[in-house]
Amino acid sequence: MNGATLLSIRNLSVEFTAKGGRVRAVDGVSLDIRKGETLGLVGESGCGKTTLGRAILRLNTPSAGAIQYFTPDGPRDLAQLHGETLLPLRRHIQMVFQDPYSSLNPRMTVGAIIREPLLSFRIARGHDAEGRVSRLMEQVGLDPSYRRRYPRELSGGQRQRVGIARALAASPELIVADEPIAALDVSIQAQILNLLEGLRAEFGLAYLFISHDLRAVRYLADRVAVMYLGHIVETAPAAKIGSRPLMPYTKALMSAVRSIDKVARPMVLSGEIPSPVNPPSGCRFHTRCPWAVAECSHSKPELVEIEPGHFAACNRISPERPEIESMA
Amino acid sequence: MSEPLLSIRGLRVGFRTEHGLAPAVEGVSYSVRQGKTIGIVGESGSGKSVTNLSILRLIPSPPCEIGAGEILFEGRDLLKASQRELRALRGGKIAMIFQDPMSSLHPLMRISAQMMELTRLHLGLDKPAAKEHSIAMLRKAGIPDPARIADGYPHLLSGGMRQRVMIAMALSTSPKLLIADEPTTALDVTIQALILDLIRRLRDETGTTVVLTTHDLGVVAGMADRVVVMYAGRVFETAPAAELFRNPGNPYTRALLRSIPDVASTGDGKREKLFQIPGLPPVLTNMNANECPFAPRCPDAKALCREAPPPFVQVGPDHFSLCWEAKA
Repeated sequence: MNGATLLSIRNLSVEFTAKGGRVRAVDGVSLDIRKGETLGLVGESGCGKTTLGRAILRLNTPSAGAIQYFTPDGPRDLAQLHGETLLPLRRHIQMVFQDPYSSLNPRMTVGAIIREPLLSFRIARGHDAEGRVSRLMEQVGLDPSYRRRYPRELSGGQRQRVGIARALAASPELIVADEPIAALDVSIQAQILNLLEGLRAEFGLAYLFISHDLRAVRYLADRVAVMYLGHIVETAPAAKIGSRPLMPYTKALMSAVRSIDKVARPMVLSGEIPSPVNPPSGCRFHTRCPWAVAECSHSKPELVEIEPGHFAACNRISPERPEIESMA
Repeated sequence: MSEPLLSIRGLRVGFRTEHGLAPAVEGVSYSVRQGKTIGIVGESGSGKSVTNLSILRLIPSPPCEIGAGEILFEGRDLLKASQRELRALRGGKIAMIFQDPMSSLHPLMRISAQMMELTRLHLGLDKPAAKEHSIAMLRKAGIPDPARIADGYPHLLSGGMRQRVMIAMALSTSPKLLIADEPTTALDVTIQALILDLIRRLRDETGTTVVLTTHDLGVVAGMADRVVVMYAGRVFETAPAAELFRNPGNPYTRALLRSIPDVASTGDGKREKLFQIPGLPPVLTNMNANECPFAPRCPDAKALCREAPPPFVQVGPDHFSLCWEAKA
């Protein structure tokens, strides 16, 4: 934490053509990730969190904005790079996918899957590569004897370990982990969270940890960003986002997490998540917000630093009056 | 005290596979009284869904074989019931909702038609009355503009709306028993809160007995009167909900509770390693009948646990645990 900035996203938008018009899945997002930092990105399905993660790896093409990646030779804008110019930087940013079944080639052995980045980035080959594959497998808690097995012979947790080893192979600085535990059993989730945290400490990795599991995000992340319909609506230190969420949507999300100790009634939002094809005007959350006033339907709130390091986008709160609940 | 509405005794269900007989459910027993909610918790392969499906005999045979046991509903053994008797119960006195509402709704039938089929059959309503009743149920389930939705098709709805339609449909015959199998797993967190709130409200209104199956301990903590924890096809622990969370009596339950990161805990660098259950859930075709199925992963395992199957012992008021520890 507190390292130099590694990645700086500015006013990033990603658009898709969908039935019924253009969808701006990511709409003017700005975020920073520092060296060695875990940034948690939370939000519900369709909010754009996966699209944002994929844009960083240029698995889709941004329609506007910049993704500055800081190298020792100065910043490079990933949004402007293509093919050959992008390739050398790709090695520094790797991805772990949600579904450990579909993200591994079923016709490749575990060893070949983990070896592939070593070859394609020309990091190692031959005997040297084999040694590295064994070491990577040990680092992620897989017995190196599994290298000759195929993904179908492994459990979900083991496959996710293969995916993590493959991401680590290129010695990245940043790993975008998109819902890496969502497909796993409860007793296996803790194993993978511990593994990710251990690797971060060992290699000084930074993570963009994308998840809808707020408990996992709160555990792993240093800072959390909350996304709603393509916008970032709140960012705060991880401890703050759980104990003192400011923006109403974050409040609802946090109250919906069922804690075993406190059996509090969650805040039940009325209405559905609106379609991203035709998002509400003004504050995009106003259609479901219990505190919405007339202003919210036409005036789009900006992210404002309400408390030190704690930003929220809400028309009804300000640094002077951070608590919306105390207002009538 | 009154007789329980549903009482499962010594249920055994196996699946024939190419690797031999997989014992999916090995002697499961539990009871639930009229108007109460029982929460069944377990990971994939714990046998919780197979137990649910056995109640209405909805598991295909072959490959499945119900080996032994009784499923008493209002004192009648459903395992001995004829297909005709079962058909009269399904969707009538016993309703069921599943994790994926899309695959349980008929894609080519109007929603009203699907709902009317049920109420005309089980309640003997005529067409206009059945239609009116469907719309009233959709309204109760919080569906906006229910008359319009009733004339539409399932694909027009979001996941949360579909699950509400399922609940409206399931409760439209005023069933005595509602079996809800992972009803919120496929939904976003804020929508989960909405659906659980709906089930709770309708349950309190109608006095329906609920069997709520989930892998999420938090969901159970907020909903259930009593909890059954399953592992490897067995009941590992059962107790009143408050007692189980306050005073978990089985090493598996304790380990599961400890491995969940708590959203209320203060993060911020003071990240302690999560407690993790080592190893993998057992492979059902490859289990040793002469040991505790959790012994290979149990933090408290003793030599005895590897030598004989554990006893099911009372450890507190109305609180039972499948473990040698309890015997000592």
